[in-house]
Amino acid sequence: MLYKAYAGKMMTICLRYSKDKMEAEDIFQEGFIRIFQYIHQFKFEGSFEGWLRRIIVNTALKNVSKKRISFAEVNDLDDHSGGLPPYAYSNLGAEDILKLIHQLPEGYRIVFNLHIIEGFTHEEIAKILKIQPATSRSQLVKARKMLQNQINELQKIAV
Amino acid sequence: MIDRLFDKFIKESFNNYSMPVSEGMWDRIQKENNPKIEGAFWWKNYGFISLLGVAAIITASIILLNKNKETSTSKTQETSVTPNLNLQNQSFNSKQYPSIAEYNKTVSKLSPDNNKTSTKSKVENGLSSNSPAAYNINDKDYSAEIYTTKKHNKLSITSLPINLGNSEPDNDISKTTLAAAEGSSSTYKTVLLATARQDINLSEYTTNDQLIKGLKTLNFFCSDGCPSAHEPIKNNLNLEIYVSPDYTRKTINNSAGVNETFLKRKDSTESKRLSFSAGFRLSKTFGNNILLKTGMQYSQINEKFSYRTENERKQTTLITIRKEILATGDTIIIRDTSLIEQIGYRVKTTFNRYRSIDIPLIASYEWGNDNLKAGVSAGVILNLYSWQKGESLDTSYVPVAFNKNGGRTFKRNIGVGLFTGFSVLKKAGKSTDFFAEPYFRYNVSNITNNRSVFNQKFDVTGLNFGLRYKLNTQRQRYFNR
Repeated sequence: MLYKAYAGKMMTICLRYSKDKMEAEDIFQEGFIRIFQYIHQFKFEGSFEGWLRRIIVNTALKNVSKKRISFAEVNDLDDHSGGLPPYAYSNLGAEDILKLIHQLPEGYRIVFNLHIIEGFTHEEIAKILKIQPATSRSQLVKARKMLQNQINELQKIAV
Repeated sequence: MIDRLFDKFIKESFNNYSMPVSEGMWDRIQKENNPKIEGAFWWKNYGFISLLGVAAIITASIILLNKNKETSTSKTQETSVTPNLNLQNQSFNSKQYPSIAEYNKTVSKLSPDNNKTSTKSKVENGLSSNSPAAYNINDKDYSAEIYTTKKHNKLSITSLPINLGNSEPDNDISKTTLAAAEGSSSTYKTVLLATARQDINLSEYTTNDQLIKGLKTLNFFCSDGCPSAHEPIKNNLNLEIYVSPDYTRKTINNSAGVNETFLKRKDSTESKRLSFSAGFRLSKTFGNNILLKTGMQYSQINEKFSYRTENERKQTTLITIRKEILATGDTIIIRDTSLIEQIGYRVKTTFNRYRSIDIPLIASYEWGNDNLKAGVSAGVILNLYSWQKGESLDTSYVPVAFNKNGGRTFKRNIGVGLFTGFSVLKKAGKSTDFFAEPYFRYNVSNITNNRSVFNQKFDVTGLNFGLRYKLNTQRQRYFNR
């Protein structure tokens, strides 16, 4: 069954784009309704999972555009990490990373998801979110840095 | 390079990762894909129906008002002729009002002398000029001033011909008596007076005041608030302004397979706070006791959301810096880092607001006197728009915010509510009544939408305190002293 096979993966996507579980469930529900609505339009070209993914991501972005998020700059990033050595995050699971992603400001989170995980270029992100490509770039750098700092902190506590 | 590795790591972490989906999700998706028809078809278009209802009430009011005007105009013509006619025409039937031509004929037949001709012309003048005219039945005793102006033209005397019509044609003083008295002016007057006393049954009234009172007693056909001798007809349009402290009863039940523990936990985090509603209503009187009311009201249900999380850990990093001088004379700075962890609980408090704008459509039945009245009301309250703001628990027991823009749990229109109430009105001024109205509002549908994992509904019990202003207090005046 289509739902059973892909529900978990699609829920992960929804969680990455939302600020809490309730919002993720809303996106998930709306996304699957659209999937069932337009399933006849799938032309069996390319991966089915990719098609599903695209619908879910689009639904999430539609939800984002409704909220009119501001891509504000957060200035409390201490630039002392200088990136993380690989051993620092090798023992982190997807659930831990998801929690850390949730803690990112909304603008950071969306750009980070679109670029790092979905693979959109900054120009594409700029078009989707109606922002400047430079804004997308700076949001990504800051998101990455914030995430690395958070992982660093986590490591410290663990030690 | 490090960033690239980091990005790669993040991407790979999510490659095949699946998160659990809540139990009721599939049911909700299915429900959304195959929407069932809930209730009657009109149940969905609340806004449209509300507007339709208001439009219907306004149209009905206008039609009724116009109808009343037409009735009063036609009755004026009858009224202006009949009192004098009956003094002279014993066989007059209330349902067959004679025309002015017939009246003239009768007068000329009965009163050949100048005196009677002048009475006739007075009546004619009164009719043609539509000005207040004094019809002296008797110079001393029966001087009733009757307004027949176009403005003040309603039915005060309407009942008079009907009452007169009750008089038997074969009275003691009959046509023959009148005919016999035609010869002498003074005899004719006496006979005429006696006829009047008998005809309109006012023989006991000897002064103007008493005559006016007598005329007042004849008003048994007014249906829309009876006028008194010196006061205008009762008003039939009111404006009510009210405010009410409300007590709410919340009902939560399972909608899509969530466990009962969640509902209990959610319920325990929310507690009632004093709610209120305020608004205005326009009411129109139909008959002596029935009122139809409509207007607009604002309601706000208040709730306190208080969520306590146990085992909250707070970590504080403490860095102590000290200097030590070694035996060699070197000074070293030592930094000690220690971690302090506090375990406790955290309470998150938010005040939730459930707001709505509604149109009440209410019918009331009132009884009592001008000073004190009581009434019962029933009707519907149609919701125009609802919006909510606050926080509540989600299925993963985490507080989540809902608001006007982002909230997806609640409906923007909560549909129809049934209203019932009992009211007591006390006169507070010439055109003002104070009223208290305990009421109950039962909301038919939930405030949550189909996507929500639970159904939530509020029923409201309140006590309206308000003022009723009589809008058309000076409607009509029939008698003038």
